[in-house]
Amino acid sequence: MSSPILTRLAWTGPVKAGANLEARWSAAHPMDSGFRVDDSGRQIPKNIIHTVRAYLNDRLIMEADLGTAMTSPVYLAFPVLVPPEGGIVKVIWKDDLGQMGETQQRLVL
Amino acid sequence: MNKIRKLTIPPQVQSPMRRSGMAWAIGTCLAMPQQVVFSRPLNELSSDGIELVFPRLADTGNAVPLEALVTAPTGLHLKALKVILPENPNPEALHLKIMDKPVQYRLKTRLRLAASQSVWLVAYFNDGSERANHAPTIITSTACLDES
Repeated sequence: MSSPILTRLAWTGPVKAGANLEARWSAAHPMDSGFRVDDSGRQIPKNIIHTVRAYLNDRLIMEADLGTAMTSPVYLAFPVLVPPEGGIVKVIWKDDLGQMGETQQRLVL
Repeated sequence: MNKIRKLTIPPQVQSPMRRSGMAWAIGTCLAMPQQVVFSRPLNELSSDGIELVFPRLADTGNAVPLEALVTAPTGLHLKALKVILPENPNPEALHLKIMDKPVQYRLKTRLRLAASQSVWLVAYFNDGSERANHAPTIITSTACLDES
């Protein structure tokens, strides 16, 4: 398999119970749309992250189907409502080659 | 591929290599249009409660930032969001299914554009209603063409 895909998950805003944080997720994935050609003129096969799932304390909060119009590196920012006990936000992705990845961050109150 | 090139570009235009390459790339970009089907035309839907921040002019189509703030009508909450780029080979850029029940949702992402167009954001609410808003942009180069 190719080199590992670097992903990043970060917040903006104060981590307080009941606050609406902005979670920012990005992955340094090539996101080959299948429309571009390489130097020898051959078409580069489509390989994009097609599914992204975000979990808060193992509860699914968001599922995204991505199309070829997403940039490389892919970037997505979505709100997370901080539960009173804090917890863990986990983002899972899958691409067309079957590669998968997972990033998690703890919400420390 | 060669067939497309022969069909779309008359020989007199073929002399500058860059131009023929560009036309060919745009040709392949538009070769496979896919349709997104909606119950009603998007421009008949209400745009209330959907704010879009999208640059009016972007240097390249490779990464155009989109920010959307969606507020549900009173008593309703959001179920899903869709980002549609009608002129792209695959118009559906993003389909976001929201599992908790937010009244307000702020989404940020970056998009690749094949041509100057309006981005559409469609919001789906829990009673089955839809709202949509759009924001136009002009790009000076397509994302379907490599810079190299």
